[in-house]
Amino acid sequence: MIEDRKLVICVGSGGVGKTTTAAAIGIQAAMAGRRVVVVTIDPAKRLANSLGLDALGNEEKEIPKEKFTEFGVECKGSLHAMMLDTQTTFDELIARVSPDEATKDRVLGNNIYRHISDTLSASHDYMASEKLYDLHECGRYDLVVLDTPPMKNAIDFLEASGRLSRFLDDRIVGWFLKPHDDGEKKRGRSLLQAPGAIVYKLLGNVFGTDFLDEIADFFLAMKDLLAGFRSRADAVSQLLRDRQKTRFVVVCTPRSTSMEEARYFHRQLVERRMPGGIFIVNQVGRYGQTQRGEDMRYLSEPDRLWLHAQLDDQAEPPQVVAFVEKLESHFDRSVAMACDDRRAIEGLNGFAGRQCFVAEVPRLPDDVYDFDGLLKIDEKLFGKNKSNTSNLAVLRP
Amino acid sequence: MTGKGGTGKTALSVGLARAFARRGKRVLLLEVDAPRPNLPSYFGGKVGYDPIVFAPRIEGANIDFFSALRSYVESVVPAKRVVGLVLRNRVVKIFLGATPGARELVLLSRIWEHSLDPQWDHIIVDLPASGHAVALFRCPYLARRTFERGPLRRRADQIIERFSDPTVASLLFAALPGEMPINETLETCAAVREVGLPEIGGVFLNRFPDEEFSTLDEQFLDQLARREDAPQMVAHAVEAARVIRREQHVAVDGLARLRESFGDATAPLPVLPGTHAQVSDALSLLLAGMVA
Repeated sequence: MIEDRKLVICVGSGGVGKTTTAAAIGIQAAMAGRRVVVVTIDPAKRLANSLGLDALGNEEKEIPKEKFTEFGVECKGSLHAMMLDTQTTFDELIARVSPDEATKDRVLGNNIYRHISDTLSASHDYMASEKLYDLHECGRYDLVVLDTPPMKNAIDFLEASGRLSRFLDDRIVGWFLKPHDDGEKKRGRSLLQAPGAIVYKLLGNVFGTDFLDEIADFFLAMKDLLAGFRSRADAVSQLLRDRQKTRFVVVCTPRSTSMEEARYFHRQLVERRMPGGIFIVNQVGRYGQTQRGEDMRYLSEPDRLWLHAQLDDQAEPPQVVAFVEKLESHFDRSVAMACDDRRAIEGLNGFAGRQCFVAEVPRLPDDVYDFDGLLKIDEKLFGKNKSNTSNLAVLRP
Repeated sequence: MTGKGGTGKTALSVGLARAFARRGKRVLLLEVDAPRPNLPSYFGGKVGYDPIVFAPRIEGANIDFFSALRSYVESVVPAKRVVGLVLRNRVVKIFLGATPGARELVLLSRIWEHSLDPQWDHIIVDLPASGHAVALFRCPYLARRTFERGPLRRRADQIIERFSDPTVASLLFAALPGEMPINETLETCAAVREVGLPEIGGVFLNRFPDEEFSTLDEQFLDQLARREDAPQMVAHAVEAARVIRREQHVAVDGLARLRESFGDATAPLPVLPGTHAQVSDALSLLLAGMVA
């Protein structure tokens, strides 16, 4: 995946470690010699800091190679990171597809446009895929890793470009603009009334004529951009379905809600013929295989004696006894949770089938929001010896 | 009730509904345009646009967009035949599906209609994930800026008037102790305050660990973690305990950060085992005191 793909898209609900996973994949690919950019939507400053940057903005920033050497690894390629700013990206897109300055200014100044780019629920998702395409095309990177916006419904992201195309469907725009193609702003209203006067009057009653006028203005302003917009949306949609170039990674945790969402997402990918099949399960409990002793406890009598030998001279005996008991009860709980996690992952494996791949990252005792933590995740995901034993890199289409 | 996916939003909504019902109140539970409604996993059966009885004094519904649109159109166009004409119009369908704020306004309009129905003592709305909730509250203001007059403007005004009244509506958050979920909760809370509606009611911090390590315990853990000669099982137990300790630190930090923003209206709730129904039942007992 990290060796031959052009795009890796991490999807999943919020709080499952999606951003961290995207960063870890980016680091691994950069170490393997590729020129990588990680696009995140996470405004958490600590992620930027952990990559050795003050903050992330809408411009790509390079992670200094020294950051890698500091932790004893080598960056053979390069690593950039950026944070997606929806509004700026949308404005840039308008600027790019506009045939001239006047059109650009008209669209950017339209009230409805400002609202659309701000609130259209699809726009964040659409802009993520838009930026992805842009970075992919620009030639500066071999691999783009995208951390998608957290969402309840995965369809939002997958259908975003299609939805925008539909919104800009020329038959609809045509309905508003007919019969003139070159109508001026002022003529919009009279034009609107011509083709479907009854429908227009009705819509006016229901939604208010102001609303229709605003929309007509918007479409008038947008109509010159339409061809550029739609071919762009089509290209994004094609890229997302390209099995040679793109790979979706479903990120989740073993918790039941997250597992359900991972399955749901996988089914959506399959339905839409988008290249998925990789699951990364974060925060997996450890020691699920641990066996109890004859006394039904995990720690043996020699284990407890060893602990007391270390600690007895440092505190009152009841304090040490209490600590050892706490240690045992926490271990009990951890093992029980790890067993639940194991069952959940087995369930996911069964669901995913043999063509799919499920990778695990255990719960770690240290903070994962630093570079070292990211490297530890890489180790779990890809193995210590980079390409050979690696868990994910062996995957070939 | 808002919060990101997996924070226990629905369990809390249901728990709250049960707590109110226990006190003899009539409660309506709502989901908003959920492609896969969560409520049936608590009550069984199916949930639709019109409220159905879930339990004594508890009814539930899922407000889907097209039914809400029908309700809205019916409220402004009295003639049935014309309603059908508007709704069947292809232009209307596509354009409302994608027009900014229109979708949200229509959904909010339905919640507003329910809020006028005197049969309910309480209506609990299990909102979609956080970002969408902010978009939902912003849309009536958006409509107010966009339209000087007309039916959408009037409805937006009515919604703002009713839902900005703190005796009518208040927003509760469901959060989890992780750093990212706390960040998102604080961001959403700030965004809602900026929008101006509704009033912030408080936050529930779910899955809050019950027990903390003492300074001595922590000292022991660090000391043992450095020992390379520890018996294997002891090493595992120490590692496991350190994972739990880290999660506790994260949770305690998170609680402190929530308190900065929500003050006393911050309620940590313990990890509750069991099925959806068992969890919401246990929650309803915990919440009963707060409801009172």
